[in-house]
Amino acid sequence: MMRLTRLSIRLPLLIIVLASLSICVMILLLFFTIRSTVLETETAALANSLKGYERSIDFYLDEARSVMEITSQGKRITDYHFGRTSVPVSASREGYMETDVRELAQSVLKNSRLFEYLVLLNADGTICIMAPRQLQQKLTRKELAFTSWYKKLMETGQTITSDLHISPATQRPTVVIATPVRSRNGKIAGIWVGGINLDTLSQIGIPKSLPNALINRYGYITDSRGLIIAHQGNLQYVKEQTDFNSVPAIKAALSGKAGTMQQLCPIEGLEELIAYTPLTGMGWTVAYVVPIKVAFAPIYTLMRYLVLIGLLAIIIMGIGGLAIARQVIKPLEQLKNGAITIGTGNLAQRIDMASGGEVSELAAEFNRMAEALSDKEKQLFNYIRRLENANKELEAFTYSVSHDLRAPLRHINGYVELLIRSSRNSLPEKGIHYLDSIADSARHMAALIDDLLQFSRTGRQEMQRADVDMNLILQEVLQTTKHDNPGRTIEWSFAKLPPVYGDQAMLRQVWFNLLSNAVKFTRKKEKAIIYIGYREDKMEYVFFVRDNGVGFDMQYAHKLFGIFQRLHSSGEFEGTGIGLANVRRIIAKHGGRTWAEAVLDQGAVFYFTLLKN
Amino acid sequence: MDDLLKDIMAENKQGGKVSKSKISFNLIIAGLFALVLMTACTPSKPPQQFTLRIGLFPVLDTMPYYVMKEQGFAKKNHIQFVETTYPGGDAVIEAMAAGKVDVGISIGSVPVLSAAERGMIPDTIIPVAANDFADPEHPGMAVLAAKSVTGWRDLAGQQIAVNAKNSITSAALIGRLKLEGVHNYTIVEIDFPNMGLAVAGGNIAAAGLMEPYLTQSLLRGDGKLLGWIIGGSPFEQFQYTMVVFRSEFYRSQPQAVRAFLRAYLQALQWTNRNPDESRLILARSLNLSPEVTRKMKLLRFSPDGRNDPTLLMGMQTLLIDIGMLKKRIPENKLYDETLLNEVHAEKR
Repeated sequence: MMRLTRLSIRLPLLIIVLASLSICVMILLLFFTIRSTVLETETAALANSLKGYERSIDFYLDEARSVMEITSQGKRITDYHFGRTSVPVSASREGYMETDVRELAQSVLKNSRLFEYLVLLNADGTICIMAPRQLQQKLTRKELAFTSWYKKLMETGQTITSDLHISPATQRPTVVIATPVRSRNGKIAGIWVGGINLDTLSQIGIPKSLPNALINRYGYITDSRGLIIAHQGNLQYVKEQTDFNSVPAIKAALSGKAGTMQQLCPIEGLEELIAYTPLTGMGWTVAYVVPIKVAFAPIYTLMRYLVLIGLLAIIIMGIGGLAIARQVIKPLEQLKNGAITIGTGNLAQRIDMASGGEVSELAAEFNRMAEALSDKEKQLFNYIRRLENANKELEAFTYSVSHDLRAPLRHINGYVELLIRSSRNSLPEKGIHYLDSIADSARHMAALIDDLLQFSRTGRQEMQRADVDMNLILQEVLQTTKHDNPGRTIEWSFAKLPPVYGDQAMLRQVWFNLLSNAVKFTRKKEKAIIYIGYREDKMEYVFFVRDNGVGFDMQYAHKLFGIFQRLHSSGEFEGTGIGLANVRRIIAKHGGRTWAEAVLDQGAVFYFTLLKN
Repeated sequence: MDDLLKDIMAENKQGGKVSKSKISFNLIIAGLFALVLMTACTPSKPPQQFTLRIGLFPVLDTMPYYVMKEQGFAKKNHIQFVETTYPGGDAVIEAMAAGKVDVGISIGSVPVLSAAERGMIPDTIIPVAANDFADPEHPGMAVLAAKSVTGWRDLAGQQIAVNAKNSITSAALIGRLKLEGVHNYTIVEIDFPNMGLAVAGGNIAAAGLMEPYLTQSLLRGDGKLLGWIIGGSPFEQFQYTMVVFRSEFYRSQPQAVRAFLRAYLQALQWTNRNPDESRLILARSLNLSPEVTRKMKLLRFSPDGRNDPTLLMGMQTLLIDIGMLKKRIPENKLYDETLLNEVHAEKR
């Protein structure tokens, strides 16, 4: 499994992540900048399109109005009304006049494409003529005086453009332009009505060559209630008079405002950009729309390319990163391998790096360091050898001196005893006392030499390491100690000790010396309290023996573990002063430490450590 | 030390050989696995696709069809549609008789009864399932009247619009006017979407309107609600529309009919479980403001597509009474639920 902590993995990863982040940020910045620009451009373009669309619609409606007004003043229509209202006419004459009007209507319908039907009404709203004729036959009403546009025209006497309504002839949505037909005295004699072709109105502004499916920007018109009159994109809205009153932009336009906005069209459920305006003088509104997905289509295409390029760049940077990482890591690997070899003790190893740069300098420093270490190692080796030799000589000297001293001492002691035995009755009491003193001193000296020999043997003795049950040897030592000190009142307590790895005999000696010391130096206490315990550190166990004995002055603590060092007189407490020195030597051979803490007349604690492993 | 190194190198060499053989073994296993996977994934036969020419009468009753499309139930059952819109159920039946349409999803019970009376069932068309029902809690049709109309009697001598003369609207309107004692009126045909504006413009005095156009007209202020005529008197309980197939298609492609019924039943269940989402789907499908479909009243869509024979017989009494039907049509001559039962049995 790959380790993410390794530089060979982390460096290329870091390069890829940084490259990806930079590219993402760059793409996002680019996206938002382009989006903002496109939005501005589209909004401006939309406003222009709306103006163009509005002008086209105005032109179309003006043209339709003009056609209606001009034809309403024409001879055929005025004659029809004048002829029928001024003098009685025969049926055949009325028939001729109707034919004239029908011909006019047919001509307008055929040539202008503005209207889908034309109607001539009497002033009371009754229908005189409707073209095409077949629509007249479908009429469900014979008069149109009920319509709002009729009422408005009669009120104003002006040409009227109606709102969207249902034609009684086609039963479909329609908008009409109605213009008054005036008699010679200026009174309204009739009404000339043109039903605007909403299909044609919806096609205004669309290039003829453009199929409906390709219309992705479109304009539409609503009447004063927000009902669709014309729609470039979807004729169904016209056929169903879809109500766009809920569209925010149309609401704004109906209240007389013009502008552009981005909105969610509730009818189509699409986000769109829309420009809107009221249509002057009509109460209608005109809007021009581009769906957001159409407006931003080039951005999305560009983004797709950018993302692809970005991915490619990330891959290239990743490969480049790997190559760079390899270049950077290779000398580091060499350096590491060299360091490992040196670390294993091969100080002759040198790192050969001629590429230059910081890593080469580091390698050169490393080589210098290895050189210096090698020199120091040689020096150290020499010192150690000399020290070992000196130590061996010293130990041999100590041993031989101790050993050689024993024989003359035994002679002295033997002769003194012989002298005492043979001359006890002849020598004065003072002389006997002197001889006893010589014998005591010789015995003491023999004890000292024995201890010194034991101390020397301890130093030279080979260790027999094994798992040691400290509790077991402690119990053995305790039994011996108790046996050696009958009549003492001692309260023993101890913790369960952990097993260690060491020389069992030597460790038994350590415990024996420490417990003997504790028993000895609590002698003056009526009730001695001795506690044996341990604590656990990270690497080692710290064992200790705590007593409530005479303690010692801490300023002499450093002397405690020295050979033949005593902090109390031999008259007060017997001993040669070799016990603690032995403890230190044994513990040192185990790789541990020894020390003591005490308060005078209150007690002492003796510590020693042993490695856990 | 040298011996140890030799041992390690020997072990490594041996290990290398084991790794190579392991890789080969793994490659063989992976190859076999890929072969098995490819065999398992290779389509044995592509599912049969069905193309159905559907005649639509775009009103509230058509909601399950739009749900079927938008929620993917049609695609899931391998169906695609070719749509044609008609002004009413009767026109769809005529188109089926002419072989132009294979299925109609919202064919009114009145045009179906009329077709049965004319002997078109089961030779020309076969109703296969019920679509929706009306009751006072789920009224289906109302009369929208001009603001000047104060009561039913004001409609005497007036023009009143229906979508088609042989339609539920017509039957319900005539029935109600008869009950209200109104005579001498004229029935005119106007498409549902145009009725509201026709009332508002004064072309007609009233119109029999169904959802969602009724709510659209009321919200627009085209007129006022004079009274419910389905879900109200005379048809308080009513089986509204049915799913009808062209007989020839039914007989020649029963598997397509079954696939349609599966999709249709899934759409019905979804519609009944998700009325709010269904309203939005209808708004989108009919280009309406969501406010309209949110405020309109919903019909009770059938939970299982089963027809209600008792209701259909009861309705006929009234239809005979108002002269829309000459005699009762027995249940077994009205519809055939064989394939519907088969589709239900598949689910069990």
